[in-house]
Amino acid sequence: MERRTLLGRLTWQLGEVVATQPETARTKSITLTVPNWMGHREGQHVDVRLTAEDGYQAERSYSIASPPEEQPRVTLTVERLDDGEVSPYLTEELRVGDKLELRGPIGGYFVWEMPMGGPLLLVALSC
Amino acid sequence: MSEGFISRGFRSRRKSGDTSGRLPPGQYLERGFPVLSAGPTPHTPLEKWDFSIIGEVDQPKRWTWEEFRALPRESVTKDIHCVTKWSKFDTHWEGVSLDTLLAQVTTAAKYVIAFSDGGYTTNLPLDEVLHGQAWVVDTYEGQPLEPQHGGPARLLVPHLYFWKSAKWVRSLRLVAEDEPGFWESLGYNNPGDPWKEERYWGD
Repeated sequence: MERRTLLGRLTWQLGEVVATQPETARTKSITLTVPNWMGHREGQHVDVRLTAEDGYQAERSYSIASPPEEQPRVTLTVERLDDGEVSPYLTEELRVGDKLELRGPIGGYFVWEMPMGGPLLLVALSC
Repeated sequence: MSEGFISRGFRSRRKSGDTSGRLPPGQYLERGFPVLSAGPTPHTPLEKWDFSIIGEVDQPKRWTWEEFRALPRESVTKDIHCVTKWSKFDTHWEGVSLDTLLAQVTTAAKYVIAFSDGGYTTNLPLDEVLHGQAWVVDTYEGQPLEPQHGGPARLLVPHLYFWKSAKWVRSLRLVAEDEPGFWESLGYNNPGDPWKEERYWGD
C-alpha cells in the first residue's frame, strides 16, 4: 500500500501559481508548481491555508483535479461561493506568480486506481 | 518551510466577536448543518434497531429501542467540529450518556470501537468517552435525529473531531488494544483533538 506516503506529518508547503483557467462562470482551475510534492493518488485532496497580514488564517480542503503524472504541477478546481471566505480569494484575487500555502495529499478512501476496475460512476456536487 | 508567509491580498471576511476562544485552529463557523458521509444513508426500522455493548465484558449487554428510550436521559448543548473545517456552536442533543451505558458492564478494556449500520467504525480510548464526554443521542434540536444526521441514534463525542461521533451507531466493542477505525485507517488522526489540530496521520 501507499499508506507510507502519509505516515509522516504533512507539512505546509508553498506552491507557485503558474496558470489559472476559468472553467465556468463560478469555477476556476488553479495550477501550481509544488517543488517538494510527494505525489498523489487520484481522488486525494489538499488543505489550503491563507494568512492575512494581521496573522488571521483560514483553511479549506480542495480536491486535486490533475493526474499524478503532471507533478510537480498540481491543479485545484475551485467553485466561488459568494459569501465564502477562501473561494473568492482563490478565484478572483490569486494570480500567476502568487504563492499559495498547502499541505497534502490527504485521504485514502475517495481514491480510484486502474486495478480497482470498473464500472466507475463519477458524480460531482457541492454542499 | 513556509514560516511567516502572507497571502498577498487576503483579508478576513469574518465578522468579529462571535467566535472568541470557541473556534479551534483552522476551523470556521458554519450556521447550517453540512451532511458528509462515506456511504449511503441506512434506514433501520426502530423495531429492528438495537444497541449492544460487546467485546471484553463480563456479560454483553443489549437494548431494544424501547429499552434504550427508557434509560436515564441527558440534554446537552455542545460546539461540534468537523475535520473538513466547519464548526457549529450550541448544538442541542438528547440521549443517553456513555457513563450510563458503560456502567451496565464490567470490563478491564482500555479502548472502545463504535460499530455503525453500513460498516463504519471509529475507535476511542475509554477515558475519552467517560466522565460526561460522550453520549448516544437520538434527538437533535428537540426533534428525532434525522437519518442523514445519523438517526435513529448516533454517537456524540463533541470534544473530538466529528468523524468520531459515528452516525447510525449500533454497538460499542470494548477492547484491550487500540485498533484504528474507518477514517483512522485512511489517513486521519487517531486521537483527533481539534484543539491540537490533529487532523491527519502525523499531526
